[in-house]
Amino acid sequence: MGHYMSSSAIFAAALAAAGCGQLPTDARPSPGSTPDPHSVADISESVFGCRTSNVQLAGPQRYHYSWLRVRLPNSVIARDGQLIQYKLIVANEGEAAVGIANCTIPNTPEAMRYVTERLLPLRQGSSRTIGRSREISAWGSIASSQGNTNSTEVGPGLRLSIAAAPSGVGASADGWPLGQVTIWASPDPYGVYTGGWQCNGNPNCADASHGDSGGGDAQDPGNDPCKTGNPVMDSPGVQQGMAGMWAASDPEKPKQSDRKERGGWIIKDPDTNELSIQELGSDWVSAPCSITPPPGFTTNNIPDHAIGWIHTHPFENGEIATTCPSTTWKGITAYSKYIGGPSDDDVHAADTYEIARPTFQSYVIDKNQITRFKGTIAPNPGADVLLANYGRCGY
Amino acid sequence: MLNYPWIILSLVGLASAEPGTPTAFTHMKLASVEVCPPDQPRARRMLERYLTAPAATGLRQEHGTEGISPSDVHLLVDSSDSAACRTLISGIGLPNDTPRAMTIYSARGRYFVAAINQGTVVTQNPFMVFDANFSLLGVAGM
Repeated sequence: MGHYMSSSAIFAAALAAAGCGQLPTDARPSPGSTPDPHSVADISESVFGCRTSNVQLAGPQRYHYSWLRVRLPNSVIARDGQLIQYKLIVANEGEAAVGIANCTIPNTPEAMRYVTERLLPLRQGSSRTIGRSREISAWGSIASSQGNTNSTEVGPGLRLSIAAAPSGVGASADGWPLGQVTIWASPDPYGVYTGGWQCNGNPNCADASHGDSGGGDAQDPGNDPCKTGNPVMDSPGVQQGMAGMWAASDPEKPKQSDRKERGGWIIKDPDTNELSIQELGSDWVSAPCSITPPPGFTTNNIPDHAIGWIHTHPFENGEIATTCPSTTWKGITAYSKYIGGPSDDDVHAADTYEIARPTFQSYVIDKNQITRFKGTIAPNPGADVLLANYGRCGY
Repeated sequence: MLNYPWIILSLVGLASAEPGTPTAFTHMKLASVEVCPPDQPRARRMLERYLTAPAATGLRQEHGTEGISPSDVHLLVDSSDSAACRTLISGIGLPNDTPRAMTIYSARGRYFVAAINQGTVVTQNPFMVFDANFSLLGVAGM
């Protein structure tokens, strides 16, 4: 995607490891069958997938989102064909996630190890080494680093938590934020981090995470509860972007002042037609109830290939919003209750965007739903602000 | 002494201007008398969302405004509502994060005050609901 700056180190290895073409889907055992994977080991491969996001340390976007196809040798496929949602999170010492991968992979320790090694820049022999990670580049070293106080029990043979770089050094040459870096891996989407892609354990939903990318899954889309019928909403790149923005909004922080709206442009790649989210630049000021565009921003500053915009409201319908602009009545403060969906300022922004680009699409994510809306004054007058509501599948 | 005839002639000239012709005199007069703010398309949009959006069902129940439709609502105007406008405007303190302009509506014993953001921040706007005695029933963030 030409819209993004070069990625930081996290998941860069995955980019290299990810397959690019449409691979046969019939190599994956069907549920219930019990093929002997070793009978075809290392001859054919199956394709699985990960949604990834990582912080951009340079450039106008805060996050980079990708949909990665991961080729796995049949030797690491579960005999019963069982899949899991496998999540990797890299957090800095402030416990802010700087990289997240949500994968659907076979439920085997070998598959977890295989994917982990390719997603993290810690492969043995890899030239991508960061600080002390050079010393622990082998899987065995990772698995044995159980003495770390930040270690997390994540599954058989998967206690991962490592100090990958000395504290307070700044950024490494390849963009990795040095410091106390904790790497977690979890087969339990609820086990470590509440943000990111989750499918509530629903195997159909899990399959959907790589269903419509052409990434090699045999799941019948008609049975996919995550499908909305809206091609933008159903796009893996957009779903991944939304999950990342939602997690970055810190919607579960009890202190509302710790939450913040996040937003981005929905980008359609002119060459591949793939959709993705390009987060608003760091010059946009995020607050719990607002996003302030940079001075001088006009619709001319919208990226060329943007077909819409989307942002978060880290609130629940009816929640008393103590950090949103409050009024007073006869000197007594009166907090507002959040009404789900776009604010009138959002709709007004949609008015503005639609003047410049009549087909521009607008979405807002809150704790209850995703809402598609439009302007109503110009150039598309009408009373109906809300066009559709969608569930947030998995996050 | 010489000034009086000039002043009188000037006032006669202003008073005889075509109706609706803006003059400094009429502007001053309107500014000093108008109380109820004018309607705004965005304020009316907020009102309609409050009265019809499923997400606001709970708030409408809290405020006793279920069953009020947008067609029931009228804009408060000076000719009949200046006292109500004055009471509301003098009692409401708007947030100072961005300039806002109020519009006031009424229906079935309820007053609705929409405070529309006039600045560049993309934020939420307060929509206040009062009963007939000017007790604040609640604020919707929209």
